[in-house]
Amino acid sequence: MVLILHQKLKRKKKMKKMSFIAVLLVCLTANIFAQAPDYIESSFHYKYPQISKERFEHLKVGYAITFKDYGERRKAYFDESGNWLRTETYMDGQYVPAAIKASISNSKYNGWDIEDARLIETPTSKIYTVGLDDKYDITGVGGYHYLYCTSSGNCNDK
Amino acid sequence: MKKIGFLAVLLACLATTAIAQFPNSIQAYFRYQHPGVKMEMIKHSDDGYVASFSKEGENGTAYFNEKGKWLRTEIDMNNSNVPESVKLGLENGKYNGCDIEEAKLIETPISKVYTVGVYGDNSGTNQYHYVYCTSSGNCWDK
Repeated sequence: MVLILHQKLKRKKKMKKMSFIAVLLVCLTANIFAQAPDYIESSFHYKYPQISKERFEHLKVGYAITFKDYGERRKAYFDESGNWLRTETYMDGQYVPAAIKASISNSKYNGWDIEDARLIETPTSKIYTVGLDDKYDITGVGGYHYLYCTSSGNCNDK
Repeated sequence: MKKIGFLAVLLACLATTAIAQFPNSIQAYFRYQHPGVKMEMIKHSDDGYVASFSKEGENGTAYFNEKGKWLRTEIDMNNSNVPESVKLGLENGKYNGCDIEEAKLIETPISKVYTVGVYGDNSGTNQYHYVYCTSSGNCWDK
């Protein structure tokens, strides 16, 4: 009798532990599979028809949807009401517009490498952010500048 | 019990792999630039390393190149923490009376730029604008 009770207690403890782990795993994965509200989905598909989203995030302010378009990773931001705010496109340096490359070549950053680039489109503007790395920098800590450029190559570094 | 043990070992292995292999300079960056702040996640991307963290209720993302050199940090700011100089810069520019929807601080080794998403401008419309401002309140949007 004592042995049976002991085994029952053991089984109960084991079940509790298993349930705890299951709850923990569900909590960890819940965010990954979170669903976008219908009106955000509609705004996204209105803006980008026939493109499937890869990831949805509910941000501190508004929502973000990550997706791929012609091989480029893009992230569209919407406000709480579903209005499109902006889309950021992560670009390979080689696809930065020629006008911006020319502007860089004609500046003090001539010869620097484009480390990373992003196109930020909003309802009223189109700005390229370009991270430049000085390949001759030997300190290992300096030699990185971040430019904000228009499509026509008008760049600002601060 | 065996199953629980297996799960624990599996999770430990995954966690170790996720945080073990990255350059020491990334740890050093956090030690000196954000003392007391711990990385929440770090991932190896095509261009280098991306580390996310939280500091005083704000989420940040730090970018490093392949060698672990710090490139920049982006912090999603609480609107209340946007510097007065930036708010003044918006008011004195084209955005008098605008509402700040979101704000981000982009820090690089040599610059500090605030990107501020605002609704409204001097024309009286409720148009959304994404404005770039320096700490001293010099703002531009295109």
